[in-house]
Amino acid sequence: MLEEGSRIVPEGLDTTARVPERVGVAPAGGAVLIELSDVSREYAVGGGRVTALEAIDLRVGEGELVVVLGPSGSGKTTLLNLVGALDTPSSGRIVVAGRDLTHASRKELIRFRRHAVSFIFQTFNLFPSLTALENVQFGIDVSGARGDPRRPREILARVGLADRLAHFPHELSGGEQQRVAVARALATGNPVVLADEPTGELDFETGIGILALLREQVGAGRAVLVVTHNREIASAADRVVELSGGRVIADGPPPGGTRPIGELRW
Amino acid sequence: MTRVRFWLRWSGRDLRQRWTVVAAIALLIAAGTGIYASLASLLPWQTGSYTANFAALRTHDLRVALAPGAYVREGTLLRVAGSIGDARAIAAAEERLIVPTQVDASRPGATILVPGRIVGISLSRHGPPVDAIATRRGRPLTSDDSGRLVAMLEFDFADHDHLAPAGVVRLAGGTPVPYVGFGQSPEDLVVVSAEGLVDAFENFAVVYAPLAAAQRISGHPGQVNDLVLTVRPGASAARIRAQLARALANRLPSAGATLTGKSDITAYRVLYADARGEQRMYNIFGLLLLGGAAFAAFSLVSRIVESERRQIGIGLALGAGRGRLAIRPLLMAAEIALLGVAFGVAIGLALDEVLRGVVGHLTPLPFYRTPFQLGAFARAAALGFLLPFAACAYPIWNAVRHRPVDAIQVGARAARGAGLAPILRHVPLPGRSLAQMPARNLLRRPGRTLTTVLAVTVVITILFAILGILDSVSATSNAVRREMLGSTPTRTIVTLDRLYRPNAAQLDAISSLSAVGGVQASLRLTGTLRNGRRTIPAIVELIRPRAALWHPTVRAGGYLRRGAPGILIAAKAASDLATGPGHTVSLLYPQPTGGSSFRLADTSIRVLGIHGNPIRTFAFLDSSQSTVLGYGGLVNTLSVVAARGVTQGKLERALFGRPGVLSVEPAAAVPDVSRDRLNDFRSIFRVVEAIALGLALLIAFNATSIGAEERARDHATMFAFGLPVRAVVGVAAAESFMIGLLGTAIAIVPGYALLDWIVHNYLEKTYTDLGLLVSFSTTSVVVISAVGVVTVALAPLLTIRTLRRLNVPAKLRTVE
Repeated sequence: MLEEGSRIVPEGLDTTARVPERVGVAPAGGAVLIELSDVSREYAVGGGRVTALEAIDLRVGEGELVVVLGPSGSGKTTLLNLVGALDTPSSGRIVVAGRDLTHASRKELIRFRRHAVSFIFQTFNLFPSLTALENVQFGIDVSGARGDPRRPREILARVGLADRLAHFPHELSGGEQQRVAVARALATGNPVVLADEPTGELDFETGIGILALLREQVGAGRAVLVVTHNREIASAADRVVELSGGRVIADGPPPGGTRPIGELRW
Repeated sequence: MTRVRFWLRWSGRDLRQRWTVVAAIALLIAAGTGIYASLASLLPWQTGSYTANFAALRTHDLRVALAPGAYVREGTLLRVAGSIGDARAIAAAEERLIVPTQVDASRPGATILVPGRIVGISLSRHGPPVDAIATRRGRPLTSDDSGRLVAMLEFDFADHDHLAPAGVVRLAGGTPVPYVGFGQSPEDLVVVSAEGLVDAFENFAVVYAPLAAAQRISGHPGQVNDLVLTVRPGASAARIRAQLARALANRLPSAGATLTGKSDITAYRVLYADARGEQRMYNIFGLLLLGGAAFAAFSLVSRIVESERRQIGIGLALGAGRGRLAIRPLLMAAEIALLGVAFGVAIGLALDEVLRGVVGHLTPLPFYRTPFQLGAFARAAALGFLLPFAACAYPIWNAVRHRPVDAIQVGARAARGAGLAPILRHVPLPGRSLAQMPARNLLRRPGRTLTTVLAVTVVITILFAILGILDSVSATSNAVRREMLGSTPTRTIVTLDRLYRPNAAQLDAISSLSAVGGVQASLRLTGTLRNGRRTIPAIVELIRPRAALWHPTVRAGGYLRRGAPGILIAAKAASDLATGPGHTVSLLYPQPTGGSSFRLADTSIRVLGIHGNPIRTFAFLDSSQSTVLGYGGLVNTLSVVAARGVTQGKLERALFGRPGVLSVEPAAAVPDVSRDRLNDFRSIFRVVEAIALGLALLIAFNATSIGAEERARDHATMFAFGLPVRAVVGVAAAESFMIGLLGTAIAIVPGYALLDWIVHNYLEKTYTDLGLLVSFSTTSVVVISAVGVVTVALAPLLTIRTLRRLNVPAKLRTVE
């Protein structure tokens, strides 16, 4: 078990690396992996209706780390749920990794989640009855990304948990649990990584480690969409989409450009 | 007051949030208590109804029966009774003539030809003064019928064969006798055949007729052989009995009279003994079901309280006292208790309705009294009220004893477990992560797994025992059938109207019938086997050893030898007499002393071996011993088999009414009687079985639904990773499957022990004439597996709707 507050940065991760600056609302990377066109989401609450998202247009390309920023209730998580096919829009069109989710059947959505997106949650959501290794293996098993049986070990080694393979979630610190969650998401090999407040439960040092891992995924050609209300994290992104009252009020590179993760402070 | 309102309001919110779980646990408790209360009502219903029926039917307090074949002139027995010192204490007395016969109640398309007896009764304006006949259909016999040739038929027999309430039957000798209705006398509330087989109504008919008519039909004009009497309230039946015994010994020394009391009436004895024995068994079933429900409730309540652990931890951290923090779970226990009692009473009342019908069907009495059993329901309600508190006590104590720092931790960190959990968690398992998940989930909480498994075990134990009893009944019945029929499926037992020489013309005439394929003559004696103080009734048959047509088999000891003394007895007889091969027993039997006179003789015989028939009363001697016993080679019974191509029915018809034939009965009727008797339980067993099945399902469903609630976040994560509902249900089903498999496997040992206990300590003591074989069939194994494993495994299917409606995004963000 790690001591609280100790800094955990996986070996080989360069937290000082600066990412080339990109400008504009269109994806600067390769192919468009996430595309939302005029997407709205309303909920019936009590007798009335609440608009969580209104007329959202967003495109995220391959190799892009996009941070969605906004205060509580701004629609960040709703956006993430729609991209991850956990929820369906009231109107508009969503295409992720080449699949149009708007009119997809339940079966197609299940298949989509299995092969297109990976989730990282604020509260980790590891399976308490499975070890770290088995949790990662789970990601591989469900996505069907078979191959080298040593892969889950390698992934855990990459996130700095080579010596924690047989540990159960309750035997790991919060940071270690989140790294297992990241490893599980990466193990799927899916092109889109969705992270909901991935550092929300973590101390600064541990959070930095997780961000570095996510940044590494961008380098591997994935699109990473991070939802947070932490502006400091946003400054390490390629693009920052700011939501307020369910609308996009800003979309572009972080003010002052993308900063190396090592320079972040919160 | 404000504080009370605060806690009640909070508890009310808790209830709104988890009312389904509270209701489900309350249903478990209710099922247990309701079943217990209802089953506990059976004994007071039965004994109360029996007592009321015996009283209403003016059941005799004393009975004088002359030896078989002995008769005295009408009025003789009344005079003997009137001569005793306490004659004024006799309230009513009635002479009867009881003779064996054959009853032909056939109608077009149905041959109904059974042995029976004619009971000739004295009639007053309201029927017989003693041992009245309750009219079930048609009209009663009254004093107006005294001189007429008319009869009533015993109700169970007539009802079983769907006879019209009025018609004509033919009795032995071919006499047509019109009957005017169906009735039941106290002695025939449970019909006992001439062979002493209990509940023989399907194959044995009792015909009640005015005394004069009975005398005319049976060829005994002006004769009687039976006296029944009732004593005045407050008079001593024992004193009268002693005086009567002395008077009979003095005035009718060669009549072979036996004196019996009310408690010696087989129907009286069997009904009360059965009711008490059955109640013991039902109490066990009731308590086991209640125990199973309590186990399940304990397991589920523990899980609910555990889910509150963090809130309790927060309370502790905020300085709330343990007692105060226990209020909410205790209020939940109170809600479960109140709901459980309310549901329990409702279930008990509903079950009462079912059992009222079942009881009436089991033993059709003239009337039943089945009042609401306040005592039984009060006991069950008290148990039902206390159980949830007992189930909550440990989990609550366990939850509030933790340090706040431990209790407040989120789920994953709190999931360390204790005891075996840390060891079991690391047991290596094969398969992919998803395949491992069910076993991992179970191993993570071994205590919880065990309580759920044990709840299933208790229910399956009951099912195992019930199915085992039914299998044992079938196995015993089959053994009786094998033994009675041997290799002759049409073997028919012909009772002759008197003793004959084996070469008598009447027997030759029977042998030469075209329907008859073979005949074997034997002597059957009704007597008593005794070893010290232990006695059992016996039907001793003297046959030729290894006779070609039919002979008994031997399962232990030696076989009969020509010309050698020695007896074969049943295993149950050996057990009840505490004897066995090589030991000696006494045989008390009626020995002819000339004319129609008999005396009770006593002879010692060595037990040669144990025959294969489970019926206790059957015993066999070599036919050469006939002379030793005083019968000089005479016979009174024939075993007859049909000629090739002749059916059983045709054979019976051909034999009926032949000179010398008193009654004709297929040998297969004997196992049918034993089977039917034991099958009486079947309907109640089926009710208990259905309840146990429902309880197993309820336990599995509750465990699954609470599990689904607990693991909602895991399930949401699985959905987020693209697993379909069927995969998540599959994990739950695999988990339930393992619980069912374990519960069923464990249940085999207590189930067999319970079966063995019920068979040997209850069934054999209640059904004293049968030695039951403990058996468990392959079909029952399949049923048990289906219920214990498949049903429990399939319970998660009931949660599909909940899973489909799971708010995945909300659950993913849940902080435990």
